[in-house]
Amino acid sequence: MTVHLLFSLVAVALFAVGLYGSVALVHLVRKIISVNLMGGGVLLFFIATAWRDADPHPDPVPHAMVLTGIVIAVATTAFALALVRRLHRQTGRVDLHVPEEEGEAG
Amino acid sequence: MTILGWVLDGTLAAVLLLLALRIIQVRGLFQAVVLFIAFGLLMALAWVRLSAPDIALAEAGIGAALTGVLLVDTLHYLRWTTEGRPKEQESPTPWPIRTPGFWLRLATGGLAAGTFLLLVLVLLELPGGPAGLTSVVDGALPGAGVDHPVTAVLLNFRSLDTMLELAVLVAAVMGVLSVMRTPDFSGLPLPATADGVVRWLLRSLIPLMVLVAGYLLWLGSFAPGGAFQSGVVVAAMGVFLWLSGRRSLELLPAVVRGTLLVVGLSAFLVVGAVLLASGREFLEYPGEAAAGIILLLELAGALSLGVGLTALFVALHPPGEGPPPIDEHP
Repeated sequence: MTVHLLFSLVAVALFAVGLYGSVALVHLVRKIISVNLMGGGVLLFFIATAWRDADPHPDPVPHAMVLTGIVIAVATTAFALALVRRLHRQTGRVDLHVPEEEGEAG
Repeated sequence: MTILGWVLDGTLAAVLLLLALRIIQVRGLFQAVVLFIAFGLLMALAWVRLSAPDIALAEAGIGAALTGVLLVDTLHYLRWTTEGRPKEQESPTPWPIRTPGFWLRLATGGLAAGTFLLLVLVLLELPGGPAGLTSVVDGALPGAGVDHPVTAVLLNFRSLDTMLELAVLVAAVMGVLSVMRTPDFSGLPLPATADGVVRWLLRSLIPLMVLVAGYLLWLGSFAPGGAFQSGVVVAAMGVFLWLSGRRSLELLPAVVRGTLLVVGLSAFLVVGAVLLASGREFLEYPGEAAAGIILLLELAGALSLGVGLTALFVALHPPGEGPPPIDEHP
């Protein structure tokens, strides 16, 4: 068990937790948070892999990609939140429930 | 030292996992958002432990702070438009979750558990050995124009990534503007709070933030820092000014605001076009001019990132709509 493996396992678990949340949770803001958890897992995996040898001088290429990924994550989160706000303004809802259907489609 | 390191890493890993589970489970949405901000900060700590201070800086600024502000602001907006105006006392669970059916939860849980197991199996199969591209980057570093490998990758070896990232940011701002029907991202700042503490904070923090943004930009050529981190500080400044009712972006003419948003992307395109015209590949810098080009691109990129990230937040607030400011506490 190395530190690299420990954080890789955490990263994979975060991805799985986020996957569960993004499907099973109903509130759209919660779905967005869950997708961010998944993204966090992916980024953590990159950084853990870059540090595989516990070298004080880790691989800079994944680092650069993660920096790019963080900015893209916040940009897409802001866009997703704008969609939620617009949906709420138009329909008053914060989930994807269709009012005509009375089934508990969730 | 190693024992202490192991204890720290183990605790960090456990707390990250517990926080993620809690974020999914907790009933109140506001609690989930606050936990998510804490999660982002701990993630930044984990990245410091994994020798990635550049990423930690960006994560603390963007992943925790800016995403957190966006989420809290959205909750405030949703509650205000749902209930007309904020209630006197916040109810513990503003939006009780409509629990999905048992079978859906079971199926999703199975899917997530299966994905977890599969990924763990893949993880254990991964080849060890010397990591990736470190030696390649180190070999190319002398002619790169900067001494810090991450900056060299970002702005020289893989500058196409950075260019496209700035393009994504511009596209996201355009998307938010059109979805929210906001005519412009100048925005109307919230009415100024009369709070003396905020005024004092503004007076002391803003000059400091300008200083830190410039320092981080300069630092990037030889140490952790650079355009990203600098841009994040600029964005924090913009959002802070906006939230406390001060004018920032809207002091500039509309043309200048728009230009600042796209100056990073344009700089990459112009540099690439000039290099293409002089018979090189797109964004393949000549060795002797690399340092100058990188400095130019970093400066333009930091400005665009700062303005773009601020604009993402401001564009969510079309004029004449949305909640009044959060009441000042007496």
